Amino acid sequence: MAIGNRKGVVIILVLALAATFLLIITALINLSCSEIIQAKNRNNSIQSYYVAVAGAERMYVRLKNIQATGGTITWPVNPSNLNNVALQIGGSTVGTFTVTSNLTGQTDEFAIISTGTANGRSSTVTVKYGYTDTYTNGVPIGSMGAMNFAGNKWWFLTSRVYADGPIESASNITPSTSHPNDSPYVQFNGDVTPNKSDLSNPSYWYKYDSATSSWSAKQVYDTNGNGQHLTDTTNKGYVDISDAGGDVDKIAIFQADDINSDGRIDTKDAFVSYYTVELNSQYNLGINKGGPNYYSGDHTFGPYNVPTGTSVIFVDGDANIIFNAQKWWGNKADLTVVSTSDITIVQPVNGADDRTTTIAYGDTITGGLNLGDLADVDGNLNMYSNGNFTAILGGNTNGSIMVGGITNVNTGLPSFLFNRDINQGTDDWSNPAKMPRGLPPGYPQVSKVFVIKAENFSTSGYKPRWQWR
Amino acid sequence: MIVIGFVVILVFLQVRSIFFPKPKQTPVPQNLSQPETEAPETSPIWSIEDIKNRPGGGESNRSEEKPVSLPEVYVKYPKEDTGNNIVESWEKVSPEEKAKVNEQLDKKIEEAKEELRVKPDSKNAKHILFISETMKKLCKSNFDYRLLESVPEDEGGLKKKGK
Repeated sequence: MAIGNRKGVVIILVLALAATFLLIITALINLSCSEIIQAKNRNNSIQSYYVAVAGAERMYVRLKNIQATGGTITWPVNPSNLNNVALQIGGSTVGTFTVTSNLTGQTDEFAIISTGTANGRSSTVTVKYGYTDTYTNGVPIGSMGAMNFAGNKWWFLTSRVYADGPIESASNITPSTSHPNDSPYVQFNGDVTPNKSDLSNPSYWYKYDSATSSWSAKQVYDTNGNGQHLTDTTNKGYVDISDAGGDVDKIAIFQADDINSDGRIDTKDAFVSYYTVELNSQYNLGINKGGPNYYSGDHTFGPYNVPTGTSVIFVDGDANIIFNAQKWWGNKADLTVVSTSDITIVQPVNGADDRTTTIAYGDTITGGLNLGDLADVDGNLNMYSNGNFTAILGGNTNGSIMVGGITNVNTGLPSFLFNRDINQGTDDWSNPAKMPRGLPPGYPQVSKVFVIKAENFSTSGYKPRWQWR
Repeated sequence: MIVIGFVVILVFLQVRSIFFPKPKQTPVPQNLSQPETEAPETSPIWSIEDIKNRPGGGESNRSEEKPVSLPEVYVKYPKEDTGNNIVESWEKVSPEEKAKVNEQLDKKIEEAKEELRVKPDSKNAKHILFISETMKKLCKSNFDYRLLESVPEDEGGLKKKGK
């Protein structure tokens, strides 16, 4: 090769020029195409989002169907026919989705997770809902007599009544629906059933046999369960000394069955016997006459009055309760107050892990203020009244209310402080540890296998949370 | 020719990327046991039961420091245990609403007293009077309820014998 032969320079120059040209062309094409690419990607992302939403809706409907048919759910819900499902519009496939559902780890919350894919782009939508599962509790509010709910409204100011259903009465319910047409001052959530023929008041004519550890029904008026009793000869609705007809033996039977010595044998004797004899004999509660948890006469209770650890007290008289009869902080509080007369509760309070149960042979009356979205009763308050139930002013409770007589729920002047919220109980009574103590046999209960919480129906409603990524 | 070839290849690649985008990586399934909004696993996690069971934190160790008033309960114990803070909630209520509450309670008290004048044995009126008068006292004291005043002295309370 001759020195100075420079023919190779041309190739280098051509390649350099070509490379530079190529770079310029690349840059120009990228610039011109970038907007098109971005628009295309955005469209595909949005398309995949809607496909994912469709999948979430499909799963929601499936869960709702399980709820409607009373089925049970095994988590996670991961059905094969909701895996890689083609979503078609007008015969053409616009994308595919795969959707599952599982518990989130938060209390009473599950999530639906749906991934949609369209034109190679994927989006995942997560929706979280509240639910109750294998729920068994007392009827949220039931009454053998008529039920009256009255809110208050003045212009745009209200003091409303809100009640979770099912709301059941063996008589009339006023108003019979959310009143009127979902007006803000009486709201029902769930079924409202007046004139319910199979609703019955609990009975106390039961006997506990400690030898066999079993319960059996007593004959009415046979309070001590010894098989000997008088009959109501004149259809008075009770037995008194006149039914003995002057017979000495019958008078002795009468006196033995008149356990509260008030001159007549009626359901009050059965009530007293059920708690102070039968239930006490089963659980050794100290609520026998003269026992440590037996209170004679009317009593007013505050948070320190009943010692921690006491599960049931029996009051032979009126029980007036301010906040709670037992301190509810520091320990889990689970107290049942039984009264042969009336129970009055002022501003009932407890914490999320607590349970308060009141059982009155007479009437129950409660009232206070509704001080915030969170319940003043954060745990559960179950109230049974053989007589009437009255709620005045405002308040917010969770639990079951069952009434042998009439139910009257009123509010006060139009103010949020006088709102009355009666929410369903949160305990699952199918778990014996969460069953209130001392409720009479035959207390009406409701069971729901799986229920998605109401969506944002009220301040206490559940708000689903949507997330997209 | 070489340059034209390069340009054709380049244009082909760009067009392909527009109409046949490379699939995005499949999202990793969400770990539902730890929701996105929750703190990472390294955050301190506690429960009421844990606190109760801690040395020095349980009820039995607290017996010497009984809260004497409701506000003190809300300071000393976690919200999960005490429930909604009534004292704090009441403080936030406007003076107008508080006046309305007073007005309502006065009305209830007057109605109950009137009923008792006519029917001295009316238990319903007696109970409404009890609730209304107690609520009035509670509101007036900003719910500064003295917990130990109804507890006898020999049980650690402030109630004198014979009262």
